[in-house]
Amino acid sequence: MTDRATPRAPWPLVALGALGLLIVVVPLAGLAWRAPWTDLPSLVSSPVVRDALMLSLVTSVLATLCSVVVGVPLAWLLARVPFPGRRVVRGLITLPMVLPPVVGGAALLFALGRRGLIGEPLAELTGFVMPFSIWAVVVANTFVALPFLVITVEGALLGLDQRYEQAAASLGASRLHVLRRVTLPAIAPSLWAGAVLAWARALGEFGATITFAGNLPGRTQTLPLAVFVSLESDRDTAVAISLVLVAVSLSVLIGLRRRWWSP
Amino acid sequence: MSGGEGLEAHIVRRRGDFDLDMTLDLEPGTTTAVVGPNGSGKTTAVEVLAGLQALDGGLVRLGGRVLDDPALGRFVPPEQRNIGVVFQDHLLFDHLDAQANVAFGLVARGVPKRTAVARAQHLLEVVGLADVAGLAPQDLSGGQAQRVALARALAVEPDLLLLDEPLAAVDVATRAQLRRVIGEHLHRFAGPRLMITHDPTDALVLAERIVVLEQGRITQDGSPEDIRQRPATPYVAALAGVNLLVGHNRDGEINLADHGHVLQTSDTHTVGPVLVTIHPTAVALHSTQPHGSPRNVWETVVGVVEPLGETVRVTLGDPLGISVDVTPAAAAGMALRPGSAVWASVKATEVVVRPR
Repeated sequence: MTDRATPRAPWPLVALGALGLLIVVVPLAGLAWRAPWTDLPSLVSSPVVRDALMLSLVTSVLATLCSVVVGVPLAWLLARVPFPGRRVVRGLITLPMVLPPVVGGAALLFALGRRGLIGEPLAELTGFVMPFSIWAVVVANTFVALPFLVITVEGALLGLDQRYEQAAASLGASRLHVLRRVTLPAIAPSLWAGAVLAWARALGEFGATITFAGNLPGRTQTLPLAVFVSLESDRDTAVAISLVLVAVSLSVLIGLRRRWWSP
Repeated sequence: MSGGEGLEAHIVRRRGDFDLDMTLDLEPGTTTAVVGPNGSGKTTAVEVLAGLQALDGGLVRLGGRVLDDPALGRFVPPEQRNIGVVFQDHLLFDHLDAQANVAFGLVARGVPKRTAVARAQHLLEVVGLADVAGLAPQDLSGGQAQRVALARALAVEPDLLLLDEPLAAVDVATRAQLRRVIGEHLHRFAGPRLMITHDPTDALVLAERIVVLEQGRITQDGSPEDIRQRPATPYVAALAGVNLLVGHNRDGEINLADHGHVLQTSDTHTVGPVLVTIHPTAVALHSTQPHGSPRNVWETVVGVVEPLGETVRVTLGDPLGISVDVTPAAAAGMALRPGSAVWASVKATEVVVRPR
C-alpha cells in the first residue's frame, strides 16, 4: 500500500519505464509461448542436453573459482598497493568486458593454441594441447568472467574504511592475516555478488568458447552452444535448453532475493 | 632520556603547507596528553608513532628499539611495533563478537585460540564487561565499545599505549564514567601512555603532563597545574578558561601591544615584556560607571553572551576582547545582550604578570 503522501510518478517516466520492462519480458514470453511443454521432460533429459548442462555447470563453477583465486589478489593489489602503471592494469583487466567475445576467443587461440605464443612450446614440452578441450572452455569462461569479479571486489575494497585494517595491523596482524580475518569478512557480500556475476557471465559465454574451445558435443559444447546448434536442426530442443538456462538463472536470482529483491 | 622502557621521539613531517616538528619523550608509567586545535598535527603524530605514516626527519625509539629513522632508512611496520592504539570511534571488527575482538591481537600473534579466548575473557572482566562478551560491536553502547577497544589494545601487552580522542565519540552522559574507567586502566598500564585530545577536561583529569601543539609546534609542555596557572599562548589560555594578553610592564603600567590600551597591575617588579593573565571571574561588569577602588575601569560593549550552566560567559568588544564570567542572575539583571553598553572593572591585584 502506498502512502498518500508518496508523490505521483510523472507519466513519461512510467511509460518509458514500462517499455523498458517489456523489452525484457516479451522475449521471455515468446520463449514460453513456443515451448513444447508436453515433450519438455524428454527433451531436457536427452543425452545431448544433459551433457551440455553438466559441462556448463562444471566449467562455469571452475571458471568462477579461478576468477576468485586470482581475482581477489589482483583486486587487492589494485586497491591497496600504489604501483607504476596501476591505471593501465585497471584498464587491461576491464578490456574483456567491452571486447567482442569472438575476438577474445581468437586472442586465446593465438596465445594458447597449438601454434600459439605459449601453446606451441607448451605442446612441445608436455604434449598438452589446450584448444578443443574442457580446459579451453574453463579458460575462455575465466577470460570473460574475471573482470566482473575484480571490479566488484576492488570497488568494495576502495569503499572499505582502511582504518579497520590499520587497527588490525596495530594489534600485530600481518597483512595476510588482516586480509583473511578483517578485509575479506568485511567485503564478503561484495565478494559473493562479484562471484555470482562472474558465474552468470561464464554460464552464458558463447563467442570466446566456440572460437577457442570449439563445439564438440560432450566435450566442449556448453548450453549456449547447444542452443545455437539446435536452432538450425531441432527448434524444440533449442527452446527446451533455453528454458533450462532461464530456470538456472532464475533460481540463482531467487536464491539471492534477500539481496536483490528487497526495495 | 637514555632509551630504557620509554618513548623517545622527534617527529618531523612536511606535506605542502603542513609542517610538524615536535619532540616527545615519555617516561614509563606516566600519562601525557597532547592537546591542540584541529590541524595542529595531533593526528599525524599518532599515525607516525603507530607506523601508519613515515617520518620525513627525526627519530622514533621505543624501549631502546628504533622504530623509524629516515637517516638510517629504518622503518618498522605497524604490525611489528607493539603499540596499542585506542581509536576515537573504537574500530571494533563488526563480524566478531566483543570477546573475539579482544582476542584478535593474541590470535594474530600465534597465541593458541583457547589461551587467547581465556585471556580476552579475563580482560573483559577487568573492564567490567564480562556479560557482553558474546555481543557484536553494533549491539554495544558507545561507552561499552570503547572499553572493549581499550581491552583489545591492552590484550597484546603493548610497549606504548596510544589513545586517539578516546572520549570524543561518546555521548556526554557516558563521558564522565568512561573517563573514570579509562583513568583506572591507564594507571594499571606500566608503559608510557599518550593521549590525544581536544577536550581540556580529559587532559586535565587524565594526564600528569600536557603537551600543547599548535600549527605543528609545541607551544607549551607542563603539568596540568602549569597549564592552568601559566598559559603560554591565547589557545592554552582559552583551553584553561583564562584571558591571556601580551604587553610591556613599566612600574605597574602595562601597555598592551595589540589593543592600544593600558592596564594597571599591582606587580611593579616584573617589568619589561610580559604575559598578562586575567581570570574571567576577576572582571566585574556594571551598567553605569563604577566608583571606588578598582584601578582598571573602561567602557565597552557586549560581544557574545554564552550560557555555560552555572555561569554566563560574556565576551567583550573593543578595546579588550576578553571573557568575563557572571552569574545568570547578574546577566539577567543587567539585561546583557550583544551590543549592550557596559562598564568593566578589574582590580590591579587580579592583573597577573609573568615575564615573556
